[in-house]
Amino acid sequence: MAERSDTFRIPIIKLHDKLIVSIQMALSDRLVMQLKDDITTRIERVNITGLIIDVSGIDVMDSYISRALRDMGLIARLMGVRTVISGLDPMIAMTLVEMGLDLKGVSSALNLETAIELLDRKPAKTRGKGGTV
Amino acid sequence: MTTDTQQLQTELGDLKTRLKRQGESLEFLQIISKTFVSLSLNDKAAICDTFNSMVSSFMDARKSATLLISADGDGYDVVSRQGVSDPEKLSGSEASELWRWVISERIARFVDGEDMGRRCPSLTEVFPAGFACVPIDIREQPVGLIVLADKVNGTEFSGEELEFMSAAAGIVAVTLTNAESHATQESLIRSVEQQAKEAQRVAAEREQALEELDQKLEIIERQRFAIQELSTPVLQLWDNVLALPVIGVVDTRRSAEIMERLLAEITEKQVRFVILDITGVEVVDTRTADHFIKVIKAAELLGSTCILTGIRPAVAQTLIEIGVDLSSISTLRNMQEGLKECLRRMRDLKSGDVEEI
Amino acid sequence: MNDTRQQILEILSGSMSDILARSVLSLSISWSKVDPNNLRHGDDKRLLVELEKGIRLYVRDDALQRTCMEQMQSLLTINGHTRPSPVAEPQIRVPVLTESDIVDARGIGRLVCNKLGFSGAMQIKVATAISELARNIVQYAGKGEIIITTLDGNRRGIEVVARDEGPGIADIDLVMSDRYNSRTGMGIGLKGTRNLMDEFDLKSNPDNGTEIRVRKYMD
Ligand SMILES: Nc1ncnc2c1ncn2[C@@H]1O[C@H](COP(=O)(O)OP(=O)(O)OP(=O)(O)O)[C@@H](O)[C@H]1O
Ligand SMILES: [Mg+2]
Repeated sequence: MAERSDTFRIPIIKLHDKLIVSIQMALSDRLVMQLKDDITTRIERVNITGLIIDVSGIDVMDSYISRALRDMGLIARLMGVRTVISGLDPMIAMTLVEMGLDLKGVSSALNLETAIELLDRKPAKTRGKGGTV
Repeated sequence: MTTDTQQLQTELGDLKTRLKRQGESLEFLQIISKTFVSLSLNDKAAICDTFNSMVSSFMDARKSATLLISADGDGYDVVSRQGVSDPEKLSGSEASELWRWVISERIARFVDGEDMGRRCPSLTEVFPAGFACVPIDIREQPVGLIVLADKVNGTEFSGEELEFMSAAAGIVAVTLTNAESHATQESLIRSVEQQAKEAQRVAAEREQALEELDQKLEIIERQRFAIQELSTPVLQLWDNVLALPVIGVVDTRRSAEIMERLLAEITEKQVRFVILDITGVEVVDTRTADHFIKVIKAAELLGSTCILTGIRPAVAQTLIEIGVDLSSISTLRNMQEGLKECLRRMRDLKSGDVEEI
Repeated sequence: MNDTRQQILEILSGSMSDILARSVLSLSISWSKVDPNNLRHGDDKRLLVELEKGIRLYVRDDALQRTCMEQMQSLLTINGHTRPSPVAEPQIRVPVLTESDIVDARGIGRLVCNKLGFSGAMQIKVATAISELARNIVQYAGKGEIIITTLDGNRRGIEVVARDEGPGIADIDLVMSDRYNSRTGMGIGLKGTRNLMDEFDLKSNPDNGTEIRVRKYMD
């Protein structure tokens, strides 16, 4: 399996003024850490305004992964980049809520197109009292 | 040598025919069972009629009759017959005597013309060459019999054919038993239906008291009643707008069901707005409120905006009293207002204005 | 092959003609709407009721009737319960040593749920719970194991046991309470797991380590 290899990384694609990360596998903790580092480095190096993390291929979202996603969003925000999570599986969303988890600090979009649309609009308030992105 | 071979061949041919016949009987018995099951007959006469005509056609008998012991237990009623023009002969006292005798042994048998003529001369005219018959037993008690006579090809009734008749009689007996229990069930169902109608009537009255929505919503209002039974209907109100009218009591199980269905539909139809209408919810406790908040949160995690509508005054009061915090959730008066709000937000999305969630 | 249909026929034929045996069987099947070769829970009883009707109808001899019914009863109760289990292994043990074992454990859990016919939502809930428990083992105990057991009794479901011989949890009430502030994570793993599952049982002490037993039922 791909995530077994120590050298495997999740690809980060730059599209105009946005970074798009598409997670299409079960995430190990190592991959999550790696991704957090990679995103931070990329945001620093390239000039972008938005980050889209497509999670449609993720197997589960436990406390560790959701915390990492929230952290990525917060880090990006500090660097002036808004984050949108797209393609969350409905049953995973339900599990998150039942666990008592949320993704404060990042917005959600149904799919990649709406994610792009959301980022292209003027800055908007995100849910929760966590402030603006 | 040649005669031996010839004889063997005849025997083989004979065996083959018998085997084929056995296969046919089996198939036919299944057909009979299926027929009874699928017609779900529950009237005695109809059962016997169907049965009588099926068996006589399979046996190729010109004459057949199904008799049931009459209510007083003395005589026999001819419930069904074919090719027998004078049924009163079959139900006469002399004939009854004969039937009592033939079913006393509780097996399928053939009674030849001679034997019959001796016991019951009045039937000689009806069955000059005798008849085959089989008793119908329900729980070890004979309730009637089937009589067949006068095969089209003129042959005698074979042992296999008699066995077939036994099997067929067994089927009709089971069907008759089932019909009895069905009758009791029927009356039960009727009373349940009555109760359901009454409940529906009450619900309908309540329905009428509800506010009128615009045309599209009106249709839903009318449907709501019908879909009440169908657990949780998710309706596509508009492009990009789903509505979920929640009706009745929301327990843990139903709330999980509501959540799963709504979320699955949001993803499937990729809708941006959801109206959760709780006009039909009369009682709200902390847990119910908690369920709604969960649904709304989950929908928003997917990227869909949820609006709660139709909180009844009593419900609003309870919510405040038990201290449920709905402040982070958009709430509107009714579905109509909810839809208007969705349309307004959609317009804003298009014009690129700030989205206020 | 476990051909229950054939076995039923053989029993019936012991006390009635073949043709009768077949019609009794086909009738019983169509009335009970049960496929004898694919018995599910509770099916055996419904089929038995119909078969007994047939036996009572066709078998005249009392003693024969009784033996026939007894044979049928034991056949169906046995086949009804030893039906081929959807999961080959009723119990799977996954050693948890490294963080990649976390992914394996939850993947296996999900697969088992899938084979059991759990809904998509339930599969994810169980997998998420396993992920939390396995991660705690890696983070706090270093090594341990996850045992996934198929529950096949009167309530179908799945049991997950997470066991380790690590330092144990000093104050269970505290970590399960809302006021717990974790230094390593969000402190939501165990509480979340409890919310996701139907049953949650935590045993822990410094001498024996930690054992967490959770269950999720199908209904
Ligand atoms: N297997 C274990 N052995 C020892 N201590 C444990 C074990 N599992 C949990 N704990 C203790 O219980 C606390 C609560 O665990 P829990 O999983 O709920 O939260 P967390 O791991 O701190 O954060 P999160 O799971 O949200 O990332 C942990 O902080 C840890 O101190
Ligand atoms: Mg944890």
